[in-house]
Amino acid sequence: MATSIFEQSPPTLIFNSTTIEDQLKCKIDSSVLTHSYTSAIFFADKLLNLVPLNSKKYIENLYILCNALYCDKQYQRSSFLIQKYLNQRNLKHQGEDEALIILKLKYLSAKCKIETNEFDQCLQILDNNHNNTDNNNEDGSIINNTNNNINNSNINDNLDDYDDYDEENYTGKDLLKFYVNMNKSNTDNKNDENINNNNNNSKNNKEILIIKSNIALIKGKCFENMDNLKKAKFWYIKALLLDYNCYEAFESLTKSHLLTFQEEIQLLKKLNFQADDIWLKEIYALSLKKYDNPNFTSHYNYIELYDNSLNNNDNNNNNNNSTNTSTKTNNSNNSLLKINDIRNKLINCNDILTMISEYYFYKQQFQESYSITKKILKEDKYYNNSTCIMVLISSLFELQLTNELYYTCHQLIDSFSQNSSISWYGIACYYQLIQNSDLTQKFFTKATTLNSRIGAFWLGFGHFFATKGEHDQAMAAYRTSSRLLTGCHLPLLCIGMELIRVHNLNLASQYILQAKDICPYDPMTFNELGIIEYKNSQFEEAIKLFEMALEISKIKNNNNNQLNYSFNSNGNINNNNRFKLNNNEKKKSMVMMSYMESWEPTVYNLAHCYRKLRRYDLALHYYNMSLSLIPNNPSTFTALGFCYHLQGSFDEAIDYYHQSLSIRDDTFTNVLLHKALSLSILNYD
Amino acid sequence: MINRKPTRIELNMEDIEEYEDLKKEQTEAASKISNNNQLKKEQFPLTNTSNPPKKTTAQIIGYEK
Repeated sequence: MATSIFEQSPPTLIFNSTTIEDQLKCKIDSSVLTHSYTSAIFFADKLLNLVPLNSKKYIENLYILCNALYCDKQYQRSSFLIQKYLNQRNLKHQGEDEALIILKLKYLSAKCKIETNEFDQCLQILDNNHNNTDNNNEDGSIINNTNNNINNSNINDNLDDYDDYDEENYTGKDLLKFYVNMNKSNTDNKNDENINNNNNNSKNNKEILIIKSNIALIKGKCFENMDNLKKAKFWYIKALLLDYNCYEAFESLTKSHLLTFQEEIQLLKKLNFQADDIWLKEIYALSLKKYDNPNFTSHYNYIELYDNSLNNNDNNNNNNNSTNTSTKTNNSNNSLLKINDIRNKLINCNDILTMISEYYFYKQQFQESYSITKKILKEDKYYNNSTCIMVLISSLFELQLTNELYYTCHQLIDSFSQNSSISWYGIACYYQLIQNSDLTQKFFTKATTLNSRIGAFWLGFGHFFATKGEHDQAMAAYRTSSRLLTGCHLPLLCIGMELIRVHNLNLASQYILQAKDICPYDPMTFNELGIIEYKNSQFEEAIKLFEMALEISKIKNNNNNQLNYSFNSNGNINNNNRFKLNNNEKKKSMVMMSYMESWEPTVYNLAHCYRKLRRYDLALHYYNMSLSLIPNNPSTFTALGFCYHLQGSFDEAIDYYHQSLSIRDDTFTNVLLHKALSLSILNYD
Repeated sequence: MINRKPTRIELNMEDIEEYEDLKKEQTEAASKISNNNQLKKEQFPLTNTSNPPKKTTAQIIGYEK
């Protein structure tokens, strides 16, 4: 008789079902922890079949199985099993615990749908008030919403209050007002509930709140993917208001520039951070738009800390060591940390360094932003934070480091082959820098085709068309960018700049004023408004606007570098302290000078206004300043010559015309030179 | 995102009108005041549009100053 390799279990052996279930759960947990998802699925399947259908345990075990499937990237199967169960089950009679687990199931199912890019179905799963009773979908994945009305007000409330949100009455600006009113009424209701429930199930309530927040986040993601940014914005805000720890929602709002700066500040004020989470609030503040609003300086804590650390490193003094020692001493004494200690520890996080680099980039201190992002990617080669990569590429572009940009883009393509749209964007920037139009267009097209929902790509594409003089295509690209970056003023400003180019000044003015409403702190907005006034021959007004632009840029410099650079009454840069600077300050002054260079056009435009008003001394002054910012610019030489010419100083005029023509030959300068020469000869008679 | 440079007003042929206008104004003003040529030259530098005296052949070849 052949012996079996297995010992035959005695038929009378008795097992405790609870023990088996507990053992299986342990095995599943252990498998998930060790990322052995196949094993986890195997055990979860057995666990599910050990309990009776429709029992509470069955739902819990179904969640465990589907969660393991989700971890194993079997999204369709996971979602299908959940939907199949929910369709079969009558959900009208259930307790609070069951309602919670069903909510978690629906959330998991929705997460699966997001992964498979089935956004419509995802919304359908989450939409409780949907009246679609048509269940006869081929894969049975559409839930019967009439059966899924969970009769638990605590879970259901506010999940669908976009229905209360009247899009026509509430514009983007009023979105937060809508929440203020809504939250007030909710708070009242919740107070009543609290009295009745007497603080029961607080843990459950917290869990429900977190799931509801995540459901709102998923809805936001769906709408964002379906290009309905207004609704996406609504749900992201809702996710944050439900649970301010939902960083993903916050990141989605800030990274895509969905909110204006004012809205961002309003939102941050509305999030009721607990005292323990003040450090988190500071990080949130740091990731907002990097404008210099005198009323909002929360983000300066980290910036100042970073500046100080730079100073300490450069000076190589003992302050840093002593600070560290004292911090260490404090730490060794007890586990209590001051907010400064937390900042000191967190400032080395990649995302915080990225935010700091972004700050420097928007302050046009490209060298600083470049060195920070380069350092991040050197330490963490596969750090796939799109903001970090975008700042690195943009800084390289602004610094015109073509070779470095070329090399960086190749590295990015190697590192992020799956999500390489940003790398192709970098390549387009490289070709734009070396002025290869065909390849620039090709790679901008490639980047926008791979990911058409990144506004920065379209903005870059618009700049490319603008430099080529392709007005219509530039406008189209800027409009797409404007649609995507609803809270950013740059696309509107660029549309205005394009309209100035085609002399549609009224419309240009409207767009630029809109941009100014969104961001009143950008000097470029004032520069463009000044251009419109100049073209309308309103030179006095233009002067005010150009001076305003320079004033804002001056404030920015003083804020950042704390150097005593300023414009004196004659328009000179007061840099008397320059020779007293230490090494670090000298380095910073170089940064400052590169920053000032970017505002040379404003100084030059201001000089034009003074020339038009025949205040030639001031005009000459600003032209000279312009020349010191960007030396050897032929057009500045011509303008200087023209100004001297109009003053009657023909010899100086001739000198400047010659200097201009030695760099670039142009008709205007030649005509003026001819006139100046003839008048000069007469003077010498 | 990469930046766009602020608009810079470039001089073009239309700006010569500014020169012509100034010259016209100075010419009109100069015609109203006295016949003091030196004063005219200083106050209205753009007005002196008379042709320069022609040089003799000897001056052109440098034989005479």
